Amino acid sequence: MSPHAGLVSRLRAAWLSGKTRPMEYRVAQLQALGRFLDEKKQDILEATALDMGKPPFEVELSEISICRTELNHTLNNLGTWMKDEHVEKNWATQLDSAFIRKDPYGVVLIIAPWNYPIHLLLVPLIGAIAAGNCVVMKPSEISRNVEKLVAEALPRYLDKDCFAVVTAGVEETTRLLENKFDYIFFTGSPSVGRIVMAAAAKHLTPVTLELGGKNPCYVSDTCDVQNVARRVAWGRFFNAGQTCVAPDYVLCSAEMQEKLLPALHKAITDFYGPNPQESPDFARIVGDKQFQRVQALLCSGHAAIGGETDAESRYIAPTVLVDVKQDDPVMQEEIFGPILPILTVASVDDAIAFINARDRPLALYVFSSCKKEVNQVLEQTSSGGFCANDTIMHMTLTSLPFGGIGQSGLGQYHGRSSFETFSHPRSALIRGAGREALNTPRYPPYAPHRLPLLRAATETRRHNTCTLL
Amino acid sequence: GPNAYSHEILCVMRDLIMAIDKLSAWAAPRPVQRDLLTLRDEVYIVPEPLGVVLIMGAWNYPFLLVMQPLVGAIAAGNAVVIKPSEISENTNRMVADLLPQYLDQELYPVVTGGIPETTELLKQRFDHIFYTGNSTVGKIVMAAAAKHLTPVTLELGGKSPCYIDNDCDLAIACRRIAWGKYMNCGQTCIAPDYILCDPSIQSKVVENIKATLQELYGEDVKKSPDYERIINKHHFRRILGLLEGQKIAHGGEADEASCFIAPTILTDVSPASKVMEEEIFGPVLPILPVKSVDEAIEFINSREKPLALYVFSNNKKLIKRVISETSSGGVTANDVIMHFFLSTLPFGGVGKSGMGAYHGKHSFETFSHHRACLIKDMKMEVANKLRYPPGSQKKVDLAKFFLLKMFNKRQTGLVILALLGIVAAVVMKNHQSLLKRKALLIVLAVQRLGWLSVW
Repeated sequence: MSPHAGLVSRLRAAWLSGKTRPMEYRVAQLQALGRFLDEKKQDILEATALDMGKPPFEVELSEISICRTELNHTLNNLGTWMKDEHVEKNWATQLDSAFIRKDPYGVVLIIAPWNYPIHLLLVPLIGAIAAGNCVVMKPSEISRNVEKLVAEALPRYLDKDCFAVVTAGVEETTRLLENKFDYIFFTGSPSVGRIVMAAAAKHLTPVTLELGGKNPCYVSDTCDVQNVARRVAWGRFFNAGQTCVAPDYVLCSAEMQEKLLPALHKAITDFYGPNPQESPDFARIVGDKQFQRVQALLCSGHAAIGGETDAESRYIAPTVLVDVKQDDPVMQEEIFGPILPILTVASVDDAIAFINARDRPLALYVFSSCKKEVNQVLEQTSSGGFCANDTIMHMTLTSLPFGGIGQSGLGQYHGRSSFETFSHPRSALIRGAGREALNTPRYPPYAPHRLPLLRAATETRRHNTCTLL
Repeated sequence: GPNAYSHEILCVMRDLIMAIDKLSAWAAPRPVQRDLLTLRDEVYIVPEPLGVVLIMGAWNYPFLLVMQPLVGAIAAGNAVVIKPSEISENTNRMVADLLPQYLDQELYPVVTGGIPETTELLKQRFDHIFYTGNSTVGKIVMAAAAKHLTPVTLELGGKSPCYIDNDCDLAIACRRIAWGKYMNCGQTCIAPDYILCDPSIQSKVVENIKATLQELYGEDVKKSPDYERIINKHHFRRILGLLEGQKIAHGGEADEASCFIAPTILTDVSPASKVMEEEIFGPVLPILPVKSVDEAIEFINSREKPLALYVFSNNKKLIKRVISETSSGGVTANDVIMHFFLSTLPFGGVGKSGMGAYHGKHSFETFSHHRACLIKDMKMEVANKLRYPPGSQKKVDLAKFFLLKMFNKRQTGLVILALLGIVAAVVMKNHQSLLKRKALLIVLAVQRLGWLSVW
């Protein structure tokens, strides 16, 4: 039996008691989460600094502020989201009540990764609580300090009957997955995503998988090079490249590459100074294993900018690689580090062909002042999300659903989509005992002459087919 | 017969017509709310096809359960591999023969075969798998999908409970229940599987259902052209086996040669009996006595979440309570099955009864990927400078303001009103003399009109 079986059944009992269903309860828990963010802010800054040298500025924006946005948005709208959604009726059901009820699933498991350990745990948590579920949280063991903070502090803010934090390594997480959950939300790599979904299949548990991939970034010849360089550099080197929606590689013409390199160099120097290792605004790789993996990718092509590393502090300089070929190591896996390879293509059609020959990415970026070109790339490719003339920003809007497709993931969240993800849309039709005469045509003995009546009552008519006109 | 038309073909036609009429609206980009940083940008969600989709049908409504999802998959722009159930042999053959005559065979091939062929098919990588059938195979389908990270919609089944309150029109309730239960000889995923009611009304329930059965199928059910048969010998024997040791209040007759099982009612059934272990999927209706609605709710919640839940009562509060305190794919109150026929309601299960939903627009959404799009321009770099390193507290505070503010229409309206007010004040200040003259003219004109009206 799984070591966590007791915990899961305890939470399930709390769930069955109906405790998490009333709106007041959910609001209270969400407000408690807000207090956690306020009161533990300093601890979060320290823990993330220890784990991966995260600059406080980045933590404020990408970990704390973004959770606040989701929290406020949810608290502002929860009443509306929870309401029954009344639907259009046909003739047969005209006098009935027909609506979609947003039911909680029950006991939900959220597995978070190490790169944005607060954001990628709390934002799904907000959705799960808002939807009325009980939650088991599994923060990443790789971001050790944040894991410790979450395991110790978070339970003090939330109702222990309904919310629990489990700390576990790879083996114990495998055992945890043996339990039956009513929903599993996983953020991480595609290979572990497969394992999670296979475990979920045993219990027919629905899942959301936020995975990753290589996010292509096409830069056309028609654009303001310095702005492009700044936006791409910012997206690539934020959190030392350890971002699932970071631009992974650049596709551009040889001429554009000539212009881009000095522009990128200027942007990097503007951001981090002449020696990024001394900048307080540049993060580090999270662990030795990850450092070695990313360092090995540097042998592809050659470094036009950067390339320096320091194993002791797990520092890898903001690096731009050129003369990279398709089968180089850096093009075989998601980089997840501060390395930006540039590959040259002859045209936008070649870029599109290159992108479509590979797995569908989580994000796709295009830089171009030509609207037609932007639309061409949008229409002829497939990706989780799409952003033209900037990087990353599409995932900061609560009104846009965030998620992958194919190998980059399954399902979406953020804002209302989080609430919808953790809710089961339950159809309800409330009829009355009267008007039985209306039901007569449906009963046997069946009579073909009754069909037209039945069809009229339940069928949709095509527009513009009125026989009178 | 006519029931095939109303049960299978009508639903498909309705979804087809809706898809044709509404496709351009469904497929159009959907603009969404922006924040201060993106006020000048285009922000929208565009539904896109997933790619190559697999639809696996079932044998109980073999035409409907292949065609209805197919309508949604085609509408959403996908290529589709269609795999009808091999158990409903004749429909299988008909679909395999006819469909390629109407649809592009390159994009919508039909694959036939049994378990070995289906297992091979599932090894391929699809962009979505839509399966209708039982939970056991559902797990196999999802496990196969997991290898490729393929999203799935699983329309499974379960034991759909039917609670009859003491306070209800029993004759009407039993009429509707009998219709839903014995339609297609009980082989309907949302048929009321079993009844929960007070022991005091159990015999009345039996009497009412018996009376309805006479009405529906006549004196001799076997001779009625409207009463179906069990699909095959395997299921025939399975269902008959469920009757062992039970109190048969009505029916029980069977004939293996024609796979006929008469409409049957069992009373005083125990929760631990075989007939309460699996989905019956046959014309056998167990009645379990419960002393109160509390007991009924507890009973329902102690079991797997069903595909459908039914409650009959005149008491609106009781109905509300049953819905709020239980979980199920869907609910119909004071009738059975009918939530299936309203295509604006998403149809699907939860827990062991399935995941995902379809029908009408929900089919289109199921087979689409909702791609988030943010189209910025190259200008406004000033705003971006806030987010670039080197960092500072001032930048953080400003950035937080921009990120946290979302504008809804009302707020935007108020801001614009305020701005207009300011503009108006400025205009008035600058053009005082002009305005004074105009105001004077207006006053004089009104005065003149006043004199005129006196006359």
